[in-house]
Amino acid sequence: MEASELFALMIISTATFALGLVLAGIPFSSLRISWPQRAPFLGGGIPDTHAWSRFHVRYYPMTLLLIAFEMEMMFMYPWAVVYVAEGVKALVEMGMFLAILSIGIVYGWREGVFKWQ
Amino acid sequence: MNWLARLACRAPVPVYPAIGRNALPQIQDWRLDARLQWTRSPRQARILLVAGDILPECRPALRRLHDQLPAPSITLWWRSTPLAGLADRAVVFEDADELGTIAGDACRSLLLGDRQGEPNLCPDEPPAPFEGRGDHGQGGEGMMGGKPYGRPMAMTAEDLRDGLELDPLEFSIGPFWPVLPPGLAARLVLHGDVIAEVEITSAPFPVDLQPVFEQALERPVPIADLEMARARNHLRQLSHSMWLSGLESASLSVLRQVQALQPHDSISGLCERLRRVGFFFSAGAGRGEISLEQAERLGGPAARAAGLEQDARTRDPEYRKLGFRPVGGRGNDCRARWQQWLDEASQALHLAGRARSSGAETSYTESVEAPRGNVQCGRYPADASAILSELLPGLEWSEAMATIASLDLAGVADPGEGRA
Repeated sequence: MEASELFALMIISTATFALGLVLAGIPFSSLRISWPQRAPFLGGGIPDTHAWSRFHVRYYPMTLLLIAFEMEMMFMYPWAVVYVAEGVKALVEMGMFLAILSIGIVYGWREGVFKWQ
Repeated sequence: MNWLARLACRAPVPVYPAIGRNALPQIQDWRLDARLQWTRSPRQARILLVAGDILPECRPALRRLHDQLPAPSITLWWRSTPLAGLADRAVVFEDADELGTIAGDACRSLLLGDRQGEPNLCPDEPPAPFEGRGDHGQGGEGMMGGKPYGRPMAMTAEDLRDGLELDPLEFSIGPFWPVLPPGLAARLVLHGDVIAEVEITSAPFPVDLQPVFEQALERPVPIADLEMARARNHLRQLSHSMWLSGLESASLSVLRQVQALQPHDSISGLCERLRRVGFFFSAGAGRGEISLEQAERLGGPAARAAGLEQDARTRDPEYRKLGFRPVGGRGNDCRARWQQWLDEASQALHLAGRARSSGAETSYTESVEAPRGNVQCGRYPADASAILSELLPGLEWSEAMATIASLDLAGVADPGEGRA
């Protein structure tokens, strides 16, 4: 298929999709949502402030923990390739590396990172 | 679109309940009706069911709620007076068994266009006009643009947990949110999903004492009747907590069990099921610890769970003959209170069975131990919702809701006041 044919096909499919969207919206075009309905549902209560507010998502400790685990895996792939050739020396080196990283994990554990919120 | 409307008529009718005074047990019984589907928000509902008397101070909230149902909608009134703007077209009914039929007919006539929907009760205008104001029509001056959608932006405040300066979310919730006790409305401040401040703006509607407990203050009544009423009440409370934890089918099966409850019935199957589905480890189960002083104010099962031995039944020689000893002392958190309801319901069924076979009646009429707490002549358990403003700050949303569901907060109505 030529590039121009592909291009024409793309134009046609895009136009069809756009037309479909317009047609699908027609039954709902007369629907008007009243102002009381736009208010958030609070069981009869009302919001005092706009919900467009900044709050702390608090996933940073979890992110740091992910990096700790990921670093382990990242260095273990090349290590696994040379492990057979290097032997016990490689095993000891990897043990030291994992021990250092696991200090971070133990610290995270103490800080309550594993508690799912 | 007619075939679509006809298809929609066959589906269960989506109903949102606005629960008034003394209507909660009936609402729970209606949950078992397969013809109805109970929505958790008015946005998915076609029918607003106002059940029970609504106090005048809650009527503005009911008007707002009414307008949040998508048009066209219908309001049904059970043992309730219709709002001023709807009185001419109100569907009022008395017989609780008729709800399924009435709701089905109303929904069908609405969908097929035989009937007009109800008009809005609140003015159809933004709470504070904002469109077209400011440099770019965004609602106001400055970077934040004043009042988007008519609501002011939050000011910063120190977060409870680490003092970061972030935006608290302020709103009032209730009195018609089915998660909270009927009538309870509160002004809340949230930091993320952690509750920072709670101010109760409307106490839960007072609940009438069940007739059998009222009679027990005047004359001896069969202990079996008293204990069956207690078991039913505790299991109903528990089913609400289960519904809140997302255990919908388990909560319905408890309600089904409540309807067919007999003395000597065993609820060990229910206990086993709750353990298996992890109900006692659901969100908030280990939170909501109350102090001894708060336990004293709450009375009833919550106080006994926290280790206070308060039970009017211990003073009754007839109860002692049946071998009654109060259970409790499991702890002061939600899990302990749920367990306490289970233990007391199981004990009540056991007592009811023994009392039924021996025909035992109460002999002590000075005071009676109602499901909510100790009732004496002229002294009824008062509303305890004020403890929420001490209990909830610092809890996450799900934990706070579990805590509210584990407490029986509504006061018991003094029948003398109604007569006066």
